[in-house]
Formats: sequence, C-alpha cells, structure tokens
Amino acid sequence: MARETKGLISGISRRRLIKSAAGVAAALGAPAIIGRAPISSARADFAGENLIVVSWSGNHELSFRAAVVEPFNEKYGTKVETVGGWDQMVSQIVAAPADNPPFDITIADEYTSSAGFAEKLFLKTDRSRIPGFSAVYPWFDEERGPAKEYGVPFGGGSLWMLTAKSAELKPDSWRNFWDAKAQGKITMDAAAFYWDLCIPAILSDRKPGIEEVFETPTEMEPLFLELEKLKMAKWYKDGAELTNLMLQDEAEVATMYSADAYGFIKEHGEEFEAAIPKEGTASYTNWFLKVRGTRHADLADLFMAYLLEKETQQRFLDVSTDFMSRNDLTPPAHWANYPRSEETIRQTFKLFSIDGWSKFGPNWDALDARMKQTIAKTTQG
Amino acid sequence: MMQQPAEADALFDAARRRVKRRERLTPWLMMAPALAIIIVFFGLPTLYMARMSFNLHPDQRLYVPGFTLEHYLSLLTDPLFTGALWTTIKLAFVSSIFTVLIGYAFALLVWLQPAKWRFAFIALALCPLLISEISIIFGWWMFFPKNGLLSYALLSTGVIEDKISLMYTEFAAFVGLIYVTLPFCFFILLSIFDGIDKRMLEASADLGAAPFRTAWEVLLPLTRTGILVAFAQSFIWSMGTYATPSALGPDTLWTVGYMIQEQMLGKHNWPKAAAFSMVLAVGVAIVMMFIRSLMWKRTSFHA
Repeated sequence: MARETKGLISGISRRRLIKSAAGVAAALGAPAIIGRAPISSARADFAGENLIVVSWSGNHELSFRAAVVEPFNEKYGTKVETVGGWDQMVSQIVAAPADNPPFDITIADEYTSSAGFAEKLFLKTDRSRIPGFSAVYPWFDEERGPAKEYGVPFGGGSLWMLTAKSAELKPDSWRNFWDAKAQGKITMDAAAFYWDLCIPAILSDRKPGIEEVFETPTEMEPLFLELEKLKMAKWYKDGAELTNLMLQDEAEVATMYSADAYGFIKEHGEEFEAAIPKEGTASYTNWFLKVRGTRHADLADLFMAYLLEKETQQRFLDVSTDFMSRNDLTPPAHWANYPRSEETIRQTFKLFSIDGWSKFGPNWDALDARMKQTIAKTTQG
Repeated sequence: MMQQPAEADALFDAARRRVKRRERLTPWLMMAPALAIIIVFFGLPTLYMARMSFNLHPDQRLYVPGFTLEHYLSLLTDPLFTGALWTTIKLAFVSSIFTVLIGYAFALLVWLQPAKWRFAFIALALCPLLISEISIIFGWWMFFPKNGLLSYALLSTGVIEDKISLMYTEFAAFVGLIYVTLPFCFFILLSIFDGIDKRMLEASADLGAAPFRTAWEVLLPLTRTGILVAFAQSFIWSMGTYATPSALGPDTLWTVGYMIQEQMLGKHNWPKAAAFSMVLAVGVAIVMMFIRSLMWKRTSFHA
C-alpha cells in the first residue's frame, strides 16, 4: 500500500500537485468570497483576519459597530474594526503609501467620492459577487452615474429638523425656521454650510429640489438673503457643539444630520423632536468603497456583500435614522413614515449629487466667503 | 637622540591642528543627535510643506505638482485671511500677556512657599496637562453657558438676578487659551525663580528697598529671560491652536488655524492650506527671532 501511494505521488510532478492543491483551495474558498458560501468555509478562509472600515463618527459609528461589524465578526470569526471619520478620509489615503492604506473600506458620500475618484483611490466592484444588489432601489445607481461601478450603496443620510418641545414648534416644515418664535434660538451648520443653503432651495419654487445650490454664486444670492432673515443663537461647527447648544438651552431649533438624530432622540427624546419636514430634505448617499492598495481585498468583498444583506440592513435601520438601500425592509418603530417605495425615496430625498459637487466645487471659496458674511450678519453667538 | 627643532615644531603644529579640529567638531558632534531629530521631524516636513504651497489645485484633486504663486497672492487679496491673521495675532498676544502675568504671580507664590506647600501647588499646575484639550473644552462647555456652573454660582450667591452666558464670547476664548498655556509658562518661570538666591531679596530689603522696588529692580531683571521664554511659548501655542478659540469663541472668531483646517479637510485644497501654514510658521519665526534678540541684549549687557 505504501509503495503504491509512493508510486502514485512520484507519478505527479510537484508543480502539478501544488497547482491542484491551489485549485482545490480556491474552489473551496470561492463561494465564501462571493457571498454565497457556507459560513463554515468562509470562517475557515477569513478567521482572525483584520479589516479596517471607516464609518461616520459619533452615533453613526456606534450603530454601525453594533449592528454590522460585531455580527459580522461573530459570523465569520474575523477581526473587522470600525473607525470614525468625516472629511479626512481622502486626505488620509493620499498621505499614506499607495500599497498600505490606513483602512481597507471607507464610507463615502458624494463629496468624498468625488475627491477620491479624482485621486483614483477606489477599486471597482464585481457586482456578480454581491447578490444583495438585486434588492437595491434603482435610484441609487441612477443618481450615481458611472461611479456606480465602485463600491456598494449601504443607504443614505439626510438633513433632519430638530426642535425642543419648549420652542412650541414642530419639526414638520422648514418654514418654521422663519417663524417669529424661532428667532434667536436657531442653530445651523457653519462648517458644511452647503446643507444650510439647501433649505431655502427646497422652499423655493424657482427650480426643483435643491438645484439652486448648483448655480453660480450670483444666481445663488437669493438663498443667502433668505438665510440672512434668520436670527441665529449660534452657528455650530460639529455635532458635539450642536448637542451642547440644544442641551444647554442656547438653541431650540436646529438642523441635524440623520447620522446623529437617532442617538440624540434616543437619549433626549422627552425634551426634543426630530423629523424630516414635509417638503422633503437634502441628502447624501452612504457608499462603502474598497480602497486601492488594500491587503484584504477578498475579505473586503465579503464585507461589502454583507452590507447589502437584508438582515444587516434591517438591523442597522432599527438603530438609525439613515435610510437604507434595500427595498424590502420593515419600517422601524422610531420612524413610522419611513419611505417604503422608490417613488417616496425620490420625493423625500433631494440628493447633493456627484454632478452637483462638480458645479459647486469650483465656486466653493467664493460661496464660503459669502457664507461668512451671512454668519456675521445673523449670529448672536 | 634628540629631535631637530624643525621636526618638533612640525609635530607640535600637527598636534595643535588636531586639537583645534577636535574643538571645532566637538560642539557639532554633541549637537548631532538633536540636530538630526530637528532636521528629520521638523526641517523636512517644513520643506515639504513649503513645496506643497506652490503646487496647483485646478480641480477636485488635493493637489497637482507644479509651480504657482497663486495661493500666496490670493492671501494678500483675501480679506478673510488677513482678518483671520489679525484675529489670531490679537488672540495670541493678549492671551500670552495674561498667561505670563498669571504664571509669574503663581510661580512667585510657589517659589516663596515652604517645600510642603510647593509640591501641592506643582501638582495643581500639572492637572491641566493631564487632560486633553478636547476634554478641557467640554469642561468649559459645562462652565460658561447660562445653565452652566458659573451662571448657577453667581445666581445662587445673589451676584446676578438672571442667568448669564459667557459662552461663545471672546472672553471665553481668552480664558480657554490661557488655561491651556498657563502650565507651560508656570513651569518655565518656576525653573527661573529656582535659580535665584532668595537671600538677594533679604539683601535688597536690608539696603532699604521697599518690596515693590525689590521686585522691580532685583526680581524682574533676574527673571527677564524666563518671562520672554514663557511669552514665546504661550504665543507660539496660541498662534497655532484652533480647537479652543473655535469651540469657545463667537461665530466670527476665525483664526488662521481654523482656516488651515477648513482648506485642508473641508475644501481638500492642500496647496492653499500649506500656504496659510507657511505664513503662520514664518510669522511665528519672526516673533521668535525678535524675542531671541531681546535675550541677547540682556546677555551682552551682563557681559
């Protein structure tokens, strides 16, 4: 028997043996990589492997860690970590060596995506490996244009309205910002001021959605003039400052990003209300993109496929005020009028698109200077 | 056998040259490790930043290699930048003066205390250094607003009749900056005080000088270098920091640090951010050279 075995092995060249072994390994591993694998084989392939994923900082990161990263690690035995970020991801990738990026996957809205594409920082996605795409609202691909070849659309964020119950104003219409009761008690974002400009653009009938924001600075002047009718308690520079302003009674009416709204209302829902006003809202989408140079490309694919699984999306939606990309989710208890159809998505969310950024970007310095005049005119803080 | 005088002279000259060469090299060898650190960690990044400031920014890319003076020229014509520069200098200058005044008084107090109290004061001065700047900012956010500790304290003691908010004022920004830089000033000044023989105060008093005259004519000249170093330390820190004034000051308190952050991360314009940074670095270097020149005058005076 031993002689027979020895003879068999000696009859196969070493190179052929290695090739065969590699083929068997790939055949076993492939299903895991394409997201249809038995969990046991995926566990074997990726157990103990690291992957660093960037999600938005703050409450969004906490929700993402609990609803996505931890269950993923539990399922596949991996060591996926999440780190928070806002506007620094593109700079971090460019500053790092091309073959050793600081993270493997990053969340990206349209602005981050545009800058990243200009620097060629992201890798294309093989959609055949990600079955969840079949349940994604077509709106995501349509708005994305050619950039849809990169990454997966996890969902989207938007601008919410937040009011203190003591303000005697509901977060049901953007027009309430101009209500006499709100004056002197308003706070809006001074840093990402383009979202503030979206509010008068939504209320304006001149162009659909937020199209006014993509015009020339001269044509945008009416938006600034509308904002200058407001009396601000303070312009906030980040989410922490916004929270502090609201909790310290310095402000009572605010714009807040959906990434923070769920956590805030969960903590302070007795005193505050948050909602998307009836006119709809400005929004961005949350695509997760694979960073060029990643050393964990296959695990990244598996993770991106996981992002589009129904259970993953439902779990995240249940602890968030972001909208999700899948069309088959159940509205969460905290968001009764969650958009349930393609049509409602289109009506509710006015996307600050990649195309929009290509028009806004060249005017940024001029618009920023104009916005600082508006801040100086309206602030009390 | 005796050496010829010429041969002896040659040997002597060679030995003298060796000694002189060693004398010339010794300081450089001693400085070499520190110099290497400065060149690698400060010199090269500054050179890189200087080069970056001349690059192009034609589109959404962070920068495109090239050469343009556009970013520097735009600084001269940009009222936002010149306004921010003026605001930054004013903030840094005024807060540094107050930091040095408070630090001087505190260091003098500690210097005059017996040893058992001294350690308690030093521990107190160390406290702010153990907390991150962000945590300190959160602390001020609990202290200054109308529902904050200060307002409640003043209200409950009857000093005021209605709640007040000092949050988002220039005063709050100054206080925040002073709090952050004070420990550094304090330790610099304390080290200078520790080098002074306390008997000089007694000698001055024995010669009939009043306390104020002793302070003015004895203590102040002896601590002048420390005051200048402490001021420089505070000024440099205040010029560069942006988190504290941005978080505590009013909406319109735009500093150069804030604008650098805005260009770098918000607008993804690295060349312009680098140009802002170079202007800031050169400005700080000029102030440093001026302060150094004041120190040299003192040394030559004593020599």
